[in-house]
Amino acid sequence: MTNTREARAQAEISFTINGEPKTVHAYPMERLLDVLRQQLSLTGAKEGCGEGECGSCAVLMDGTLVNSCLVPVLHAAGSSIVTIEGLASGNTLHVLQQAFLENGGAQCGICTPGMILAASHLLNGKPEPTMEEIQEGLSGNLCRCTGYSQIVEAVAEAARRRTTA
Amino acid sequence: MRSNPSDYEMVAPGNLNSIVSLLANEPGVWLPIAGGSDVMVQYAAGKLPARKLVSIWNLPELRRIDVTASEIRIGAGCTYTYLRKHEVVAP
Repeated sequence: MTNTREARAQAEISFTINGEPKTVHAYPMERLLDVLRQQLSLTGAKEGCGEGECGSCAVLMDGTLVNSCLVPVLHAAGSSIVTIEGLASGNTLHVLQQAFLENGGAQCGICTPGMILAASHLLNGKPEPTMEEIQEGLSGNLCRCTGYSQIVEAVAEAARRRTTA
Repeated sequence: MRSNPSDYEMVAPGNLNSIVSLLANEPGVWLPIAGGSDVMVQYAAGKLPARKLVSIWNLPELRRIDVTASEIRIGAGCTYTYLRKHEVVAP
Protein backbone atom coordinates (compact mmCIF):
# COMPACT_ATOMS: atom_id res chain seq x y z
CA MET A 1 0.00 0.00 0.00
CA THR A 2 1.39 3.37 -0.97
CA ASN A 3 0.98 6.61 0.88
CA THR A 4 2.70 8.80 -1.66
CA ARG A 5 0.83 12.00 -2.43
CA GLU A 6 0.01 11.62 -6.07
CA ALA A 7 -2.74 13.67 -7.65
CA ARG A 8 -5.46 11.54 -9.22
CA ALA A 9 -7.57 12.46 -12.19
CA GLN A 10 -10.98 13.99 -11.88
CA ALA A 11 -13.83 12.10 -13.45
CA GLU A 12 -16.84 13.30 -15.38
CA ILE A 13 -19.85 12.19 -13.39
CA SER A 14 -23.44 12.64 -14.51
CA PHE A 15 -26.66 12.36 -12.56
CA THR A 16 -30.04 13.97 -12.28
CA ILE A 17 -30.60 16.51 -9.53
CA ASN A 18 -34.13 17.60 -8.75
CA GLY A 19 -35.17 16.49 -12.23
CA GLU A 20 -32.36 18.29 -14.03
CA PRO A 21 -29.49 16.39 -15.71
CA LYS A 22 -26.10 17.56 -14.43
CA THR A 23 -22.50 16.65 -15.18
CA VAL A 24 -19.76 17.50 -12.70
CA HIS A 25 -16.00 17.11 -12.80
CA ALA A 26 -14.96 15.69 -9.48
CA TYR A 27 -12.60 13.30 -7.81
CA PRO A 28 -14.45 10.00 -7.39
CA MET A 29 -13.97 10.05 -3.61
CA GLU A 30 -15.35 13.55 -3.16
CA ARG A 31 -18.33 13.40 -0.88
CA LEU A 32 -21.67 13.89 -2.60
CA LEU A 33 -22.42 16.45 0.13
CA ASP A 34 -19.47 18.61 -0.92
CA VAL A 35 -20.30 18.34 -4.62
CA LEU A 36 -23.90 19.38 -3.94
CA ARG A 37 -22.93 22.31 -1.77
CA GLN A 38 -19.79 23.57 -3.48
CA GLN A 39 -20.15 22.74 -7.16
CA LEU A 40 -23.91 22.83 -7.54
CA SER A 41 -24.63 25.51 -4.91
CA LEU A 42 -27.32 23.34 -3.37
CA THR A 43 -26.63 24.28 0.22
CA GLY A 44 -29.84 22.83 1.66
CA ALA A 45 -28.07 19.63 2.68
CA LYS A 46 -26.09 20.48 5.81
CA GLU A 47 -22.99 18.99 7.31
CA GLY A 48 -23.76 18.12 10.91
CA CYS A 49 -21.58 15.34 12.21
CA GLY A 50 -19.90 14.38 8.94
CA GLU A 51 -19.94 10.72 9.88
CA GLY A 52 -23.39 9.48 9.01
CA GLU A 53 -24.97 9.76 12.45
CA CYS A 54 -27.11 12.90 12.36
CA GLY A 55 -28.96 12.91 9.04
CA SER A 56 -28.50 16.64 8.38
CA CYS A 57 -26.99 15.86 4.97
CA ALA A 58 -29.72 13.38 3.97
CA VAL A 59 -30.87 13.37 0.36
CA LEU A 60 -32.88 10.92 -1.72
CA MET A 61 -30.85 8.87 -4.19
CA ASP A 62 -33.00 6.78 -6.51
CA GLY A 63 -35.75 7.10 -3.93
CA THR A 64 -33.61 5.84 -1.05
CA LEU A 65 -32.70 8.06 1.86
CA VAL A 66 -28.91 8.40 2.10
CA ASN A 67 -26.50 10.47 4.14
CA SER A 68 -24.64 12.38 1.45
CA CYS A 69 -21.57 12.72 3.69
CA LEU A 70 -21.08 8.95 3.32
CA VAL A 71 -21.55 8.80 -0.45
CA PRO A 72 -18.49 9.10 -2.66
CA VAL A 73 -19.73 11.03 -5.67
CA LEU A 74 -18.80 8.17 -7.98
CA HIS A 75 -21.57 6.14 -6.32
CA ALA A 76 -24.06 8.80 -7.41
CA ALA A 77 -23.21 8.39 -11.10
CA GLY A 78 -26.34 7.69 -13.12
CA SER A 79 -28.64 8.18 -10.15
CA SER A 80 -31.55 10.49 -9.63
CA ILE A 81 -31.08 12.71 -6.60
CA VAL A 82 -33.63 14.83 -4.78
CA THR A 83 -32.48 17.50 -2.35
CA ILE A 84 -34.60 19.82 -0.22
CA GLU A 85 -34.37 22.38 -3.03
CA GLY A 86 -36.36 19.99 -5.23
CA LEU A 87 -39.46 19.67 -3.05
CA ALA A 88 -41.30 22.96 -3.45
CA SER A 89 -43.14 23.71 -6.69
CA GLY A 90 -42.18 27.26 -7.58
CA ASN A 91 -43.46 29.45 -4.76
CA THR A 92 -45.69 26.73 -3.35
CA LEU A 93 -44.16 24.84 -0.46
CA HIS A 94 -44.32 21.07 -0.30
CA VAL A 95 -47.01 19.86 2.11
CA LEU A 96 -44.28 18.77 4.53
CA GLN A 97 -42.56 22.15 4.42
CA GLN A 98 -45.88 23.90 5.07
CA ALA A 99 -46.66 21.56 7.96
CA PHE A 100 -43.21 22.09 9.51
CA LEU A 101 -43.73 25.83 9.23
CA GLU A 102 -47.15 25.77 10.86
CA ASN A 103 -46.28 23.29 13.60
CA GLY A 104 -42.98 24.77 14.73
CA GLY A 105 -41.08 21.81 13.31
CA ALA A 106 -38.06 23.95 12.49
CA GLN A 107 -36.06 25.96 14.97
CA CYS A 108 -32.41 26.55 14.09
CA GLY A 109 -33.00 24.81 10.78
CA ILE A 110 -29.84 22.71 10.49
CA CYS A 111 -31.69 19.39 10.77
CA THR A 112 -34.76 20.54 8.85
CA PRO A 113 -33.80 19.63 5.26
CA GLY A 114 -32.80 16.12 6.33
CA MET A 115 -35.88 15.76 8.53
CA ILE A 116 -38.18 16.77 5.70
CA LEU A 117 -36.50 14.42 3.21
CA ALA A 118 -36.66 11.57 5.74
CA ALA A 119 -40.34 12.37 6.27
CA SER A 120 -40.90 12.48 2.51
CA HIS A 121 -39.21 9.09 2.19
CA LEU A 122 -41.42 7.74 4.96
CA LEU A 123 -44.66 9.07 3.47
CA ASN A 124 -43.76 7.75 0.03
CA GLY A 125 -43.71 4.24 1.50
CA LYS A 126 -46.36 4.69 4.20
CA PRO A 127 -48.90 7.40 3.36
CA GLU A 128 -50.69 6.94 6.69
CA PRO A 129 -47.98 6.27 9.27
CA THR A 130 -48.65 5.77 12.97
CA MET A 131 -46.85 8.01 15.47
CA GLU A 132 -44.43 5.16 16.13
CA GLU A 133 -43.73 4.76 12.44
CA ILE A 134 -43.06 8.50 12.15
CA GLN A 135 -40.63 8.33 15.06
CA GLU A 136 -38.86 5.38 13.50
CA GLY A 137 -38.83 7.00 10.07
CA LEU A 138 -37.07 10.02 11.56
CA SER A 139 -34.79 8.02 13.86
CA GLY A 140 -31.75 8.66 11.67
CA ASN A 141 -32.13 12.41 12.05
CA LEU A 142 -31.01 14.30 15.14
CA CYS A 143 -32.39 17.64 16.30
CA ARG A 144 -30.90 19.71 19.10
CA CYS A 145 -33.66 22.32 19.38
CA THR A 146 -37.22 21.19 19.07
CA GLY A 147 -37.47 18.19 21.34
CA TYR A 148 -38.88 16.32 18.34
CA SER A 149 -42.56 16.45 19.26
CA GLN A 150 -43.34 19.37 16.93
CA ILE A 151 -41.49 17.58 14.13
CA VAL A 152 -43.47 14.38 14.62
CA GLU A 153 -46.69 16.38 14.77
CA ALA A 154 -45.73 18.24 11.57
CA VAL A 155 -45.22 14.95 9.73
CA ALA A 156 -48.52 13.58 11.05
CA GLU A 157 -50.27 16.76 9.92
CA ALA A 158 -48.69 16.52 6.46
CA ALA A 159 -49.81 12.89 6.18
CA ARG A 160 -53.38 13.87 7.11
CA ARG A 161 -53.40 16.67 4.53
CA ARG A 162 -52.03 14.40 1.84
CA THR A 163 -54.59 11.69 2.39
CA THR A 164 -57.53 14.11 2.57
CA ALA A 165 -56.35 16.26 -0.36
CA MET B 1 -7.47 16.91 9.33
CA ARG B 2 -9.82 16.07 6.49
CA SER B 3 -8.59 13.95 3.58
CA ASN B 4 -7.87 15.45 0.20
CA PRO B 5 -9.99 13.68 -2.45
CA SER B 6 -7.28 14.14 -5.07
CA ASP B 7 -5.10 11.72 -3.08
CA TYR B 8 -7.50 8.86 -3.75
CA GLU B 9 -8.17 6.68 -6.74
CA MET B 10 -11.52 4.94 -7.00
CA VAL B 11 -12.82 2.56 -9.61
CA ALA B 12 -16.20 0.92 -10.09
CA PRO B 13 -15.84 -2.06 -12.43
CA GLY B 14 -19.52 -2.90 -11.94
CA ASN B 15 -19.28 -6.68 -11.88
CA LEU B 16 -17.95 -9.16 -9.38
CA ASN B 17 -15.52 -10.96 -11.73
CA SER B 18 -13.62 -7.78 -12.57
CA ILE B 19 -13.49 -6.78 -8.92
CA VAL B 20 -12.20 -10.16 -7.79
CA SER B 21 -9.55 -10.08 -10.56
CA LEU B 22 -8.42 -6.63 -9.46
CA LEU B 23 -8.14 -7.72 -5.83
CA ALA B 24 -6.29 -10.90 -6.84
CA ASN B 25 -3.84 -9.16 -9.16
CA GLU B 26 -2.80 -6.51 -6.64
CA PRO B 27 -3.25 -8.05 -3.20
CA GLY B 28 -3.57 -5.56 -0.36
CA VAL B 29 -3.67 -2.55 -2.68
CA TRP B 30 -7.38 -2.07 -3.28
CA LEU B 31 -9.86 -1.47 -0.50
CA PRO B 32 -13.46 -2.45 -1.25
CA ILE B 33 -16.08 0.18 -0.44
CA ALA B 34 -19.81 -0.40 -0.30
CA GLY B 35 -22.15 1.84 1.73
CA GLY B 36 -19.31 3.91 3.19
CA SER B 37 -20.35 3.76 6.84
CA ASP B 38 -16.81 2.74 7.82
CA VAL B 39 -14.62 3.81 4.92
CA MET B 40 -16.12 7.27 4.46
CA VAL B 41 -15.97 7.98 8.20
CA GLN B 42 -12.26 7.14 8.27
CA TYR B 43 -11.80 9.13 5.08
CA ALA B 44 -13.55 12.20 6.48
CA ALA B 45 -11.38 12.01 9.58
CA GLY B 46 -8.20 11.84 7.48
CA LYS B 47 -7.50 8.36 8.83
CA LEU B 48 -7.95 6.18 5.75
CA PRO B 49 -4.60 4.55 4.93
CA ALA B 50 -5.76 2.98 1.65
CA ARG B 51 -5.36 5.21 -1.41
CA LYS B 52 -7.01 2.95 -3.98
CA LEU B 53 -10.64 2.00 -3.60
CA VAL B 54 -12.80 -0.36 -5.55
CA SER B 55 -16.55 0.00 -5.38
CA ILE B 56 -18.63 -3.05 -4.54
CA TRP B 57 -21.75 -0.88 -4.16
CA ASN B 58 -25.01 -1.99 -5.71
CA LEU B 59 -23.62 -5.14 -7.35
CA PRO B 60 -26.47 -7.44 -8.33
CA GLU B 61 -24.28 -10.47 -7.57
CA LEU B 62 -23.86 -9.36 -3.95
CA ARG B 63 -27.21 -7.69 -3.36
CA ARG B 64 -29.40 -10.74 -3.42
CA ILE B 65 -31.26 -12.94 -1.00
CA ASP B 66 -31.79 -16.55 -1.99
CA VAL B 67 -34.41 -18.54 -0.13
CA THR B 68 -34.48 -22.33 -0.29
CA ALA B 69 -36.48 -24.83 1.76
CA SER B 70 -33.70 -25.12 4.35
CA GLU B 71 -31.78 -21.84 4.27
CA ILE B 72 -31.72 -18.16 3.52
CA ARG B 73 -28.54 -16.89 1.84
CA ILE B 74 -27.96 -13.20 2.29
CA GLY B 75 -25.54 -11.52 -0.10
CA ALA B 76 -22.76 -9.42 1.41
CA GLY B 77 -23.97 -6.36 -0.46
CA CYS B 78 -27.48 -6.32 1.01
CA THR B 79 -28.34 -3.18 2.91
CA TYR B 80 -30.30 -3.28 6.16
CA THR B 81 -33.16 -1.56 4.37
CA TYR B 82 -33.15 -4.24 1.68
CA LEU B 83 -33.19 -6.93 4.37
CA ARG B 84 -35.97 -5.29 6.32
CA LYS B 85 -38.16 -5.10 3.24
CA HIS B 86 -37.63 -8.73 2.25
CA GLU B 87 -40.82 -10.73 2.50
CA VAL B 88 -39.14 -13.83 3.99
CA VAL B 89 -36.50 -12.19 6.18
CA ALA B 90 -38.90 -9.62 7.64
CA PRO B 91 -42.45 -10.80 6.98
